[in-house]
Amino acid sequence: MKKIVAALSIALPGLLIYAFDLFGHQGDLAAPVALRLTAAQLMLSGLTPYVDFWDWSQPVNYWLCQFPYVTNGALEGIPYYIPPELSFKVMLFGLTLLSIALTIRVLDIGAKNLPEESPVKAQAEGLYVPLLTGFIAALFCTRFEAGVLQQIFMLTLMPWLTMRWLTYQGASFAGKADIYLGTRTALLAGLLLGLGLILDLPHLPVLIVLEIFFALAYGCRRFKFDGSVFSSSLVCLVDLIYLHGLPLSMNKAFWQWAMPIRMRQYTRFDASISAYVASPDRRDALYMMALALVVALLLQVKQDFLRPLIALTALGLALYVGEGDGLTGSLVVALWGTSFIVSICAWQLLRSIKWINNNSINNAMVLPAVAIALVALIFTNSLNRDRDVARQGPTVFKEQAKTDIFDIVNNFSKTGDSVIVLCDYPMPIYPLLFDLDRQPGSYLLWSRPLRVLNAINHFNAMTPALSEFEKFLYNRLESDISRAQSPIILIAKNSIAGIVEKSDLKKTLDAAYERTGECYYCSINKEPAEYCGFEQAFDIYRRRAR
Amino acid sequence: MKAAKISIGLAFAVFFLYRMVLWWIHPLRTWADQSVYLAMSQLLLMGKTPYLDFFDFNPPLIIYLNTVPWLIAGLCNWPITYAFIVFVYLLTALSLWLCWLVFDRFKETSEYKYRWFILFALLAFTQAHQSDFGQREHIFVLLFVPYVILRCFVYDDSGRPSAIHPKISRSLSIGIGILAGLGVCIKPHFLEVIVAFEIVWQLCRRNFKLLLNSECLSVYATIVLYLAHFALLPRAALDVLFKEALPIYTNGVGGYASSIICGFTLDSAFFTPLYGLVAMLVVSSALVRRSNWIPPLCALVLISFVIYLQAGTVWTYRMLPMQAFLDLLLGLDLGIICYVLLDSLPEKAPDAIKFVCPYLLLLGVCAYGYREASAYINDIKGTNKFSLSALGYNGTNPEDDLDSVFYTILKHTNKQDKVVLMGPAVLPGYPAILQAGRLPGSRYLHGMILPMLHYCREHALGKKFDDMERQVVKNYGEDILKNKPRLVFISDEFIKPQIENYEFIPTYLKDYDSLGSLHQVKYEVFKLRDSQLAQGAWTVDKRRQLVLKILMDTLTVEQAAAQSGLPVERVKEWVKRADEAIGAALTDNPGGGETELRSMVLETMEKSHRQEQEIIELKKEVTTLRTLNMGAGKSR
Repeated sequence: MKKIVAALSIALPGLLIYAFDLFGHQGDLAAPVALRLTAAQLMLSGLTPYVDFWDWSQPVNYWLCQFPYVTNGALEGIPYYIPPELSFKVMLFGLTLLSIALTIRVLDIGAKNLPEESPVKAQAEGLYVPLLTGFIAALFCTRFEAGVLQQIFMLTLMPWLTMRWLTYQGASFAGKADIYLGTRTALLAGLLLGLGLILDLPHLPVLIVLEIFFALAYGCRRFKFDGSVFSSSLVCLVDLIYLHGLPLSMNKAFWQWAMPIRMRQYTRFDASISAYVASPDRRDALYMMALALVVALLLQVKQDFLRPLIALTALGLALYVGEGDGLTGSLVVALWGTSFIVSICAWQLLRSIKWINNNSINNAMVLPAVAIALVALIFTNSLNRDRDVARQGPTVFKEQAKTDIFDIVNNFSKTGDSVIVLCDYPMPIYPLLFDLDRQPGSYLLWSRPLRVLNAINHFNAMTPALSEFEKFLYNRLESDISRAQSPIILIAKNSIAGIVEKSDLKKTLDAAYERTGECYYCSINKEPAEYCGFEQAFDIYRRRAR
Repeated sequence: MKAAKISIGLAFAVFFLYRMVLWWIHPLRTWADQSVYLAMSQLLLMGKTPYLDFFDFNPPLIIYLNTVPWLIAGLCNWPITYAFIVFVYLLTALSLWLCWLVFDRFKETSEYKYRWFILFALLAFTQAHQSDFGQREHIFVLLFVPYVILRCFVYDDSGRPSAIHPKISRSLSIGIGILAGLGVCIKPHFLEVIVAFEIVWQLCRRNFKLLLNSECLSVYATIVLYLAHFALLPRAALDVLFKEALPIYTNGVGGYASSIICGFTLDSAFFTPLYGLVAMLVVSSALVRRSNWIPPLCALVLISFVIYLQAGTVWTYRMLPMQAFLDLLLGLDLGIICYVLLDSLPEKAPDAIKFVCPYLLLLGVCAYGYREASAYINDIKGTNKFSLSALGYNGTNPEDDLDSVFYTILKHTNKQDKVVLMGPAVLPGYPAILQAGRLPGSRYLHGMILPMLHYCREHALGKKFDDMERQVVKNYGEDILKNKPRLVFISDEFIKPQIENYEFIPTYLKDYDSLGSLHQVKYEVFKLRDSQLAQGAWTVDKRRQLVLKILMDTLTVEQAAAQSGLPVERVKEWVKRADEAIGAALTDNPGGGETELRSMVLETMEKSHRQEQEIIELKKEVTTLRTLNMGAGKSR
């Protein structure tokens, strides 16, 4: 416990600066986060995921995202409203604190349990400050992606990764009484990991590869079925049973309509993002990653924990390639791995400077705390610069007389109105609708299925299930449009407009709506406002007077 | 033991040779970049000066290296495309042999036992590629890998407490260093690879003396000599290279850039090596304690990955160094895993496995080689073949390998004719022009300079690129006027709109007729009018000389046509006219030649009338047969 308190104290300045940045800015949720919060709100209003609204997230995400709304419900008697965004950030920050605390706890138990003759014991004992710095660096590096699934996965993974590494070095997390249940720490780490695993499809393969790495690096005989394996497996099993036990309509829509579209993300490239400007240029992060990996390979003789981090960072690159959209949100695992590697290597190099006493780094708190605070401040400065640059985006577009999508939605709809935005990437839609308190007006929270089904048709690869989904989808869209409840409909020109033009929806659209112009997702394609596609122009359709 | 070594050696030989079946039955198969550098080498051998007489963006070493395939082609009378393949295979054999020699010097080291894994992996790298076979990056890897192996042994050995210090012959070290130096000089950014590799080893060993070994000194000397040779190029050529080519490329290549994620995921040619990178990093980080080679080899992979990112263009050949070093790492990791597994088995099992494996390997490789070779042969069964005799060689090549540009060139040009293709890429001009055995008619063998200049003008400030574009278009025009290429292809989509501003076609293609568009590749084709060709080259005296040789049986019509580069029909016509003229002049007919000619005309007319009657009869027969056929069909 003392170690946790000491660690949190060292990290406190950095955490406070992070919290100040996280809570001090409103309306800056990452698009996927805002989308899931919107979906959770729809679920609470009685709609069924995949049947009444389409998204491809795992159902557990919607359950978790309901907490911010449930919190407000619990506070009904008290005249205080906590915005869902704030609630979500509080949950996220709480998870961050839990992850850090658990990682330190794991390190504490593991380092003590390591055999004295183990060459890694000293290395483990020297990991506290580097890991704390790594956490702070990683949090700031991915500040604009706060709450995306990869970040939550990393928060749930780090305690387990640390524990697994220590286990393979010979530390034991099994309780004396019962080796299968193990210590509470192991169980908790496993529960947390299990939660991370069920959030998205590629998380489980990452875990499997990491286990293979550990077996290859340290020998299969060192594998231990400790409490973490038990609890994480239990969580996964419960989730699997839940997924199979979904209500019939939801079951079918999830397995046959959502998951196939999700899987196609890993097999087909979106040609509309082939142009240089059509996807974010994150070569800076990739160069840093390459350099960090080389340095890690050189320094792993002095700090063995770098080896699993190398494997983790490489897997982060695989996730980035697999997601195929080039967004920073898909690079979070690699960025976290890189941050930890850089942090550990930096402290390793500092140790080699003679006037810094090895022990003083661990026992003293001032120097590490100051270092962490400095890192946090440097990052905060960088983040603020990025925000300023992002604000210039709309200015540049305004100079070109291009209307911002924000202005259109804000001016032509009211709070609580439903607005239909058909775009195959969520960024222009969220958090715009979320921040302006508009409801999504169609079945599609974002329109990826339209592009994917169009491509499947083009390649004559339609299956009966997807054909049924396509029919259902177009019927729903037709119904959504013909009801004309949304005062405006915005249709992305570069990907969706052509599909709508060729379909029967065009007639329905023209009957109820009138095209009045164009607007743009005014962004320079850097964080915090990234996008995919060559030109983010939207056709504006306004409801005809009745 | 000896039998095992022979088995492994045979397996290696089979694995090396099986793919020659593919190239043997596709002797004309080649690709854009490889063929354009062969064409430049041909011009070099004809005495042309790089950058002055022919333009390119790249440094000239690749042009010099590509003269070797021409020597092979000349010696063996092979198509240059086939000779190039043989050249690359010879280079592969040299590279592998040098690696083998290095391994042989370090028999006492632990890495020695992984030699076959590494060598097979390197060979697999060469065999895995088709469209990038022989690319500059491929040649760089072949030249550089022996250096990598040597340096890994040298550095690793220096770090051992009881160093083995085997004797590497100076000539071997120098040879390896020279080859590595040549490889590094092919493109400037290959220097990053060797520098990163040496830095990582230095960080591991901190032994600066090793940077003064023979192989290193040879690398430095080769680089210095290569840089010094630029002083031998004419000043005008250097001006073109450094004041035109370099700025245009630096500022204009952005026009070909794609998003980074496109470069990762466009198709399997991109994401497969990247997933391979991930897998190798995971496995290597697990095995890093088992070999000191792993960090430097990973560094090679990662620096190659960075170079690929820096390029920003989605061209598969830019991934070749990364793939090669991944294969090297794969070989090493596989070897480590196999030996770890062997060591974990009960006592006698490893010996038994080591006994059986070479024979299983030979069997497996033979089966694989046979299957692949059979597949190559079966793929072309029943397909149409193009006879190489049209190009003056023996053998055939599947027609599908050759595109519409190639066939257009063959149809409308003769051997001595020149061709110009103005397009936004090296394709489709090359390889078609090289395959057809024609020469380029302009200093610009491909038209990439034009879209690059267009991009420069849009994105760079100042008039510099406006003037350059004007000059380039003028150069194209002047080359056409001077060299009179028989055919000029102009890209409808990308080039025509750009050159229309300069009234290119009315100004420089006045003597050309449009043959229409090649829709498959979207190019309009212009052909030089025959009178221009005849007027310029074939005076009456020249024709007389040629025809007399035929009439005196010194040459046949076909031989004369081949030698002169004229169509056979043209030569036959001249021979016939000459024959008739001589006959008419020598006749004793009092009416003279004129009467004789008139009677010949009448005779020909009668013959023509008879043939027309025959055709009418045949048509009637066909109609009758069709009617009968239809009647039979109805009655069924």
